[in-house]
Amino acid sequence: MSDTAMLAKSTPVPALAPTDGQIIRVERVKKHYGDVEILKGVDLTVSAGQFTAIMGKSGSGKSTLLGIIAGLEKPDEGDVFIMGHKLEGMSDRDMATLRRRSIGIVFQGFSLIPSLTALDNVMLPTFFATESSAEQRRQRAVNLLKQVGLGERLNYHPATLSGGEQQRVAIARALINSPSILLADEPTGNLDQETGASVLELLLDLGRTHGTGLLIVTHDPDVAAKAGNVVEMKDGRIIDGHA
Amino acid sequence: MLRFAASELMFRSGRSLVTAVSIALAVLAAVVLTALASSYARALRVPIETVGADVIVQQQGDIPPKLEGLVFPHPNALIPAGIVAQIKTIPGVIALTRGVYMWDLEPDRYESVLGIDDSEVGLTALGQRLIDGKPIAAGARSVLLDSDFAAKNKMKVGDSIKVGVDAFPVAGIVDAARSGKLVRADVYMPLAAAQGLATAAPQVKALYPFGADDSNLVLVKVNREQLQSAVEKITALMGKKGVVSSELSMRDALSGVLFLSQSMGLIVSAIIGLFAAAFVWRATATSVTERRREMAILQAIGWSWRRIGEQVLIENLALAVIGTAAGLAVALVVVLALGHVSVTVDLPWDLSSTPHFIPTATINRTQTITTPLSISWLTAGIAVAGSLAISLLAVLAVLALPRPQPWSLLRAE
Repeated sequence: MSDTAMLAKSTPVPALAPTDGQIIRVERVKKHYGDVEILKGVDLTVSAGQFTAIMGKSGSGKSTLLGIIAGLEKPDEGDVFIMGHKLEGMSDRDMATLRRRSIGIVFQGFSLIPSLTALDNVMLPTFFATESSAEQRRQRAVNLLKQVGLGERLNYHPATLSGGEQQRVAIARALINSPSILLADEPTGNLDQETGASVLELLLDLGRTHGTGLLIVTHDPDVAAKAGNVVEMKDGRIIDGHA
Repeated sequence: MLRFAASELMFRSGRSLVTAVSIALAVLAAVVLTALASSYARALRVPIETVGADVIVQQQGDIPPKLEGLVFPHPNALIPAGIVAQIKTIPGVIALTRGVYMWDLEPDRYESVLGIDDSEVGLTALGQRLIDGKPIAAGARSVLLDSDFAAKNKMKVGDSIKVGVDAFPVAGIVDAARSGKLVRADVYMPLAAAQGLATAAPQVKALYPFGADDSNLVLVKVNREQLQSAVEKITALMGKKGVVSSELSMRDALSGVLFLSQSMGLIVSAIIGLFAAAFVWRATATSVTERRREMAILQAIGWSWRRIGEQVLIENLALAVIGTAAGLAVALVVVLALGHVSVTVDLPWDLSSTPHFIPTATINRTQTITTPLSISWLTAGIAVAGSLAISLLAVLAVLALPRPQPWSLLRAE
């Protein structure tokens, strides 16, 4: 049985359904850090299955916008809707559930838990899932690690993996609950060009396979070139958005 | 979550070890020091329990004009039968044994003589400690000898011994020294026989109007819950010259030992406990600070703050359980290895009156009391609950601190 077939056979944690095809809607979002206004009223929508790249120089506000979309940063003004759910006023528990079921996140710095093996890191978001058995979740994690080429390194700790391998583990982890949205913050930023390109290809392949909407923050034009939709930010504003 | 906790504790093995050891030390100190304190406290009761009573009642008297023949030691003056009858009615008094304790001072010999009631700390007890011969009954005209005294004077069952001016056949030999629960004397006889000797003794008559039903030593068994009030009432009844000995008076007399045992035990345990609590809090705070980014990652992948708190709590509780188990295990080993505590105390002269002016008769008044050490399971339970509470409070205190926005720890820019 192929990995894809095995994945299809396993029972993923159900994601919430998108509203009107929009999985992300950002309305007039503003954010200050002290006296500095980082986001100056940003509007953005991302549709299901769409690959969107947010480009811009350092300090343009693109990472802050991603954090606000992930619910890991609070906006000073404006609203964010994920799968039709307004983030403002949501409890920590509901926010955690939304992230666990609907959002996968990949960071620039790999962000694995050093004490856990690759397999356990991938399984972390499923610890509280009740929809499937522990064995089903484990099997799904194993399959994902095989898909990212780490089937032989299930029990390796992050410190014993290369940067590219760690990022592959992080991608597998982001996809373990079959999210509707995959957010990536400079996912190739810490990798050499060749490894970065292969990681990006993997991200796009898996996004397509799983029907996941992809929102990547990058300042790499090669990454943006592969996106169906590119949004350019400057000084806390979206100055250009094109397909 | 348990596997995650185990991985995390193993990953930070140094800190885990130090935290568990600090908890173990606190538990060890609390359990061992409490065991020592309890053992010392028990030791304080031994001098009283040795004579088989909770309260010993005596009366201070005078020195007889001549130290010859049968005399009352001066802590064993007359206790009239009427006073004894009143003691019987005091609430908490369960049983009462009368005695007449005398010295027989002859030019060529000395012996202490005790006439005693037929009770469980009197003739009945003596009968149970026979190593030769047969017991004596209340109306008998024979005596029992202490085995040490008999050996020293080469006396055996069937011999005759002179007490005062009368001779008594030796009915049996008792091992009073090693069996306890008895007032020590060289010669034991029924109370009536001793009362008869006392009423006829010139040096007793010179000081006291001793009647045929009087005594000069009363052993009282008291309900332990009413000990204090019973002692107060007996003391009031006996007046200024009364000597009422109990574990309460021993506690006063041995206040230094008591301080070393109970108070110091509690103080040292409390200090170590506080030190351990501070250390656990510090270790938890450091761990949480070091793992802020990990916690942000967990939030990002769908863990609520409450789940993260539970995870830290599981880790802390695991360390508490390991530390407590280790502390209890070591405490058990220490207590088993020590086995007992020995305390050497100076017995009040009243409780061991021997004629110090007769060198051969003087008994060493210091008593080395050995009591077994045992773990108080209540203390162990409190130590377990305490260490778990410390771990829980440390987690709550740390998680209550302001937490940073997770994105500030994870973002690329």
